[in-house]
Amino acid sequence: MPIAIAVMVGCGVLFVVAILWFIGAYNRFVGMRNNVKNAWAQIDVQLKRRHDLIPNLVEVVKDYMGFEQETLENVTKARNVAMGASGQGPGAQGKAEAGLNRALQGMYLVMENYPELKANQNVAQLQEELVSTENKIAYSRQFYNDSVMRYNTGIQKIPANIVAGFGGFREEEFFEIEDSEREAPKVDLR
Amino acid sequence: MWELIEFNKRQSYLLIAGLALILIILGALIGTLSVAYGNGEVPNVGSAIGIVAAIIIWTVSSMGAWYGGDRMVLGFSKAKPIKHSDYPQLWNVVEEMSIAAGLPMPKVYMIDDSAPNAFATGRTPETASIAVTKGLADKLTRDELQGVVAHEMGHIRNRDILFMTLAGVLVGTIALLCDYFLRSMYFGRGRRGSRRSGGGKGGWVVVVLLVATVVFAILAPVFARLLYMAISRRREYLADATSVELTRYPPGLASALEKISGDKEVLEVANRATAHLYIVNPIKPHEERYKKLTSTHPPLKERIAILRTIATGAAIIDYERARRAIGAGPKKSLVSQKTMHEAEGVELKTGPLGIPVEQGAQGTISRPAGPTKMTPDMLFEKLGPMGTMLASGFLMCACGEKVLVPTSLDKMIVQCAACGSIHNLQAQLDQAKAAAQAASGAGAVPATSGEDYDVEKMAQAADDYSRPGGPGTAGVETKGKVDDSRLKPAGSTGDAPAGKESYDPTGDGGKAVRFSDEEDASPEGTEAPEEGNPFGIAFDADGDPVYPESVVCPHCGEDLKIPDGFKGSRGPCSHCREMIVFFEI
Repeated sequence: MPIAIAVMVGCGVLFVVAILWFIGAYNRFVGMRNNVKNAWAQIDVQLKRRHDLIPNLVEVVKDYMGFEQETLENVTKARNVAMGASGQGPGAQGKAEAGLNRALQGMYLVMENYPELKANQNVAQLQEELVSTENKIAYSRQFYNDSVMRYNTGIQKIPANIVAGFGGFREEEFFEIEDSEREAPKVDLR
Repeated sequence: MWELIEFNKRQSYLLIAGLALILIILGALIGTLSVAYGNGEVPNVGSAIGIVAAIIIWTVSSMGAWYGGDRMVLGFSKAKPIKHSDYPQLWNVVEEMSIAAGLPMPKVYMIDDSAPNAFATGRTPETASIAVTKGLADKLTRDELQGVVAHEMGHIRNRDILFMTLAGVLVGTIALLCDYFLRSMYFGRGRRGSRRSGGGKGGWVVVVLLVATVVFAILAPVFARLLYMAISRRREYLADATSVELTRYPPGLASALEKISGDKEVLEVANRATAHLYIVNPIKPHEERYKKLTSTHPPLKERIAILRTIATGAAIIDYERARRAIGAGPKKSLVSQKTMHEAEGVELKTGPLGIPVEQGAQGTISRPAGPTKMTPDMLFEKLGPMGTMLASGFLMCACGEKVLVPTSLDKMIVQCAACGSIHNLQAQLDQAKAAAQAASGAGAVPATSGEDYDVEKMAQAADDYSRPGGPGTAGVETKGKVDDSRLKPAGSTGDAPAGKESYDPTGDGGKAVRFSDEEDASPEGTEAPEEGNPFGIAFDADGDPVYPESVVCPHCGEDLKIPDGFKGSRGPCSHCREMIVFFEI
């Protein structure tokens, strides 16, 4: 009889331990998922910041770069596309932002042709702000991707993936802004 | 990242617990002894009194450090808070690093001293501050500044400041008590030696206790201090590792440390109490107080060597690998195995050839970094123009002008601003890789050779190469400048950003249309636009220019249509890329 009781107690203890572990894992995933959401919100803030800075830059630069209508229009169009994509999650926004990156690269490259543009104080300040915004986007993206990596790894590991399945934790997308098809930007070759 | 924070917290609790234990034992021993001296009984109520007294002293000092700590430290260092507009770049860098670390942005302070240094203070990330000297903000490049700020953010994130402050208070209290006790022993013995009222009652116990306490009182502060210094050094290594983790760019911090160490200036506001907080020990080797206070930081050369050796990735485990490879620091791992494997696979920033590059933003120079000992000449030999590009971020165009290569190299086609020729980077890269591999087998372009790499020297050599005997200019800011001897110098002004440049790619000076007449001195004698208005542009009532339907480019003869809404005074011909001046402003 004592053996039976001991076995029952043992099972009971094991059961309690299992429940506690289960709860612990679930809470951890909740924390991690919130980290991911928070990190995404940060990126969103920086992306919006860049969207807001671009019209300023285009305004200031237009006076000097009048011939480069096409480049400037590209940038404005890409910006509108990116703004339209906002709120649609990492995948869609990744593509839109990649397009904006390309357009901005084109504009920066063309800006090199206009050294008097650099002399303009407004432009210099705007440049620093844009440099900083690009960096912030990069770092918040880095932080977000790290959070996602940790979260995805956590919910994939055995035995924790049981908890994940049970609690409905799904993998999150990474935020990539490298575009798969590298098209060379149009350069005036006439 | 999070594992490291947890690990640090656990280590800190243990440290504090250990030191507290020492303190309590000390209190108990001293208390017991003092009372036993009077009545010869051991143990006695003195133990309790001693412990309580020790704890009270500790609590009071801790509270002082807790509440007043940062203000005190900032006050000592004469740090002044700054706003975004005061130092936009510094502010932006701090903001960027706080985003990378996932922390709220700390307050930024500026210390008016030309010796470069920095520290972080604050008991929680929410109440943290970072202080930077003016020398640091002025002398360091953006990447180096990022490295330093990331190191400080690492301290904040890993909760180093709080725990090292509390530990420091403990160590100080222990030292204080022991000092007091030993002094009173020394003096008390003399006076009380004859009045041993304890007499024979339990005398030998008291003697044993006495000896034990004295030994403890001598050893404890030494031990506590050594422990504190060892932990402090570990934390510095970890902060360096965190900096790499945040920026993914070890050479930034490495060259910053090199710059700081090479600077002979003394940071005047640093003193004994605050020296351990700074990123580099502010007490210089040529100062007398050097030896006593050096142990809070690991040797600078080691730190730099570790950073320059990292080649496998940007996580803690990669830092540890590099550290073990050179044999620096403690023999055991800095952190537990579990912590190290948490963030495996975090990559360094790399460019096309697997050589890590700077993550500047668009429009800034891509500076490669990494452990290679290739001089610009070597790189140019091996890789041609791509070599100098990797050395300095420029591509050398055949016309002699530097072509800016956008940082992330997303654009694989770039156009020379001076002569308009197109460079296909992808093709050149492939050529360069093939050539390099043919030359000396695989791995000809070392990305992981583990040797040192001096970016500044390479950039300087690249500059020298591109301007044979020509006057050096500010380098990256003067991209439009043309003063290579192959091209006739076209009256270049001394200070590029201030003046308006003239392009002279065809090298025949005479035919180029100048578009700058503010500061130019043109020895070649060029055609100036007639009456400043060669196209006969009229101005309407609002002062806006009215352009003709189309203009003929004076250089290549192409018919150019002027786009609607164009209002500028000049623009490049889309065929020959020469500047067409419509009117002078």
